[in-house]
Amino acid sequence: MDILLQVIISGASIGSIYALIALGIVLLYRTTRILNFAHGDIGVLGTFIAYTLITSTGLPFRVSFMLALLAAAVIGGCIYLFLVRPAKNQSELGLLILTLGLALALGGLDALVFGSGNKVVPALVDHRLVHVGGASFSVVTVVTALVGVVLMVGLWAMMTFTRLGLAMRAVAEREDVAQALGIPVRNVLIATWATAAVLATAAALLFAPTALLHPAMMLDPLSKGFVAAVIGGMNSLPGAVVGGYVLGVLELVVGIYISLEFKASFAFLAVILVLVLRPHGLLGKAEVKRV
Amino acid sequence: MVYKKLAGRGCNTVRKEESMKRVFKALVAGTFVTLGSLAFAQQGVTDTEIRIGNWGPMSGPAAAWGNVTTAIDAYFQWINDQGGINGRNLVLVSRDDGYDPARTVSAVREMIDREGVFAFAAGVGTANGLAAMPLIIREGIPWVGPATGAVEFAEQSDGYIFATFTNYFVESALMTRYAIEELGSSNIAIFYQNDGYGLSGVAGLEAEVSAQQAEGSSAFAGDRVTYERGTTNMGVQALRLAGSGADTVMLFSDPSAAAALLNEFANLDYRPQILSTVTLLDPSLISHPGMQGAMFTSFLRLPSVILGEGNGDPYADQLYSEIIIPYAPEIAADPFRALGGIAFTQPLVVAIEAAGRDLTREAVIEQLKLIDNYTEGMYHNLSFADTYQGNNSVQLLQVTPQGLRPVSDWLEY
Repeated sequence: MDILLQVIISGASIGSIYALIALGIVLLYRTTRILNFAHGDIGVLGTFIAYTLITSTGLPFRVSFMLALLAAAVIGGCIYLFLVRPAKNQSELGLLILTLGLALALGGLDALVFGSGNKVVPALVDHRLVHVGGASFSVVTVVTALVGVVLMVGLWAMMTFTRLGLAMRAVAEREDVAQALGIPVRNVLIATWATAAVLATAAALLFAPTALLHPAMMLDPLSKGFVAAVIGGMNSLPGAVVGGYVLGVLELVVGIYISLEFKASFAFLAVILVLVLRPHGLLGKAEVKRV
Repeated sequence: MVYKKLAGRGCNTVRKEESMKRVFKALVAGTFVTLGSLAFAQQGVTDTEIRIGNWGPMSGPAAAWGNVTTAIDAYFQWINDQGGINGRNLVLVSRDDGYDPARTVSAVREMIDREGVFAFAAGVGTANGLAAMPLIIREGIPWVGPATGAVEFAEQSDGYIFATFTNYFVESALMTRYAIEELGSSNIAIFYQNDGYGLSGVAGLEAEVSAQQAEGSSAFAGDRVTYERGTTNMGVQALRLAGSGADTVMLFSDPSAAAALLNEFANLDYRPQILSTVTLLDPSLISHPGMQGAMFTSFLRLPSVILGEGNGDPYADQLYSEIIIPYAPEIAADPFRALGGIAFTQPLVVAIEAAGRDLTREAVIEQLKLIDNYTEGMYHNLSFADTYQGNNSVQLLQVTPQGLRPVSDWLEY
């Protein structure tokens, strides 16, 4: 078995989940300056919706997947309209605490409505092994990585080629100027929260079949998503993707070639190193403030 | 006007002094009566009820184990509906600690000081129990059936803690013995959580392998692969275990980590014999495709709802149908934890009943120590005659396409 090839394939698979999470975090942060600690719990809520659709209505996983993404978009938009917008005059710290509170509330809601026991979520496709150059991997792994890539490309296309994407970038640059230019900032922010919620749910839906679904399922992946976002640069969407893949592969490399015990803390050491050596991340731009 | 007010105040003052004297006399008399009665009273016990404390994670990452508390409540309701114990009802005082040891300590403190519990039953979590243990021992409160298999509870009991959960060391050693003697395993690896729970599993594996080697066996303890609690990416661990060539892998982890590892095993097309600790006996994990053929231990008698019609223990079937189904139907889908809640509490109930109407903690502890070769309850054989670790046996169950099926007799250490 070619260990390095195996590490790269496995790392890329988990890396695409980290990248999706990081994308949602960065998208919100660069537009609203909010670090959303409820990002993982929004994803878990979407996954519980998909799970309920599969088990209660018998809908196929792919259909449930799409419906859950739709539901997540609605949930994300509602969170902005009914929670974040009324608190928009709060400080950044106040808004951060708001998302922490939302995370706890969503966790409690999941346990209350869907139960706190572990649940098995089926994968998007059936498990089948593929052997490449001495390494073996499951079709599930490939599909997980591919779906992640498709979503990332879709987000890039939306941000680059659509009026909504242009408006999102404008609001991220200068909200007041965007408003003065007639951009409907409120609607753009609703769309931003909805998009971030879709990314969170997609990541959770892809992650759930590799573990077990429960209200706290996304605690660890969310922390890795934050790490990936910082590594890539908190204001760079391509950076979030690069950060996710780099973290996914490096975690495994460290575990295999250095120490298994060190693997858990490696991600956070990486954050410290990046913050010291390149505070704006691998692809982020240093913020310049006029004084 | 002013005079009237002053006079009035003066009259009131005299009246107040008289009434204060009466109140004082009544208080003094009341205090003597109360002190007199307290000399014979026991905290947590009244003429009509006995208050039993318990904690568990009703929220947080281990919330599924909150079903243990729900089951105890159902058990007490069932007992109370039959007249209680010696004329008293059992009252469960439980607190959600969210699996956070710091919250366990404050919850236990509050249950002792404010709720005045008589004894503690069950209590989920190794770290949680270890955090609460010094306080419970210092207060001299009996604690029966910690819902964890850590060795410390019996070893450091100080006469107050009575463990019924076959400890992880013994469990691991018995699994290893079965693997070598019955399955012909030669290279036994272990995947373990990096804490006392997982390390007990490693110690049991190593001790039993050494014992087997001393008797001429060529089997050896293979790779010991760890993970940090709460982490979810098990790619490296799977690669290490697959690369080690282990024919048997023991699991001492949490269900999510085990599921993640099994998914990675599937990616590598690595199919060792899995032997799993009882703490992973979770309905979701049993139904996981990677667990087909895997073996679990159980230290409890199990009902047909787990083992299939005709395979269950009749006594476990009876408790499941008489208590869980009618009193706690919401946890009926999780029969292991449900019956676990009853099993952890049962020895305390037996001892309270045997202690009679003049109930004291000392009398209950005395009765607990008299439990010897007790085979009528949920355990194969419970004995506190010369130990605080009352149960040292497990049975092995295998996951088959039809569900879990027993594959061994009761194994004793």
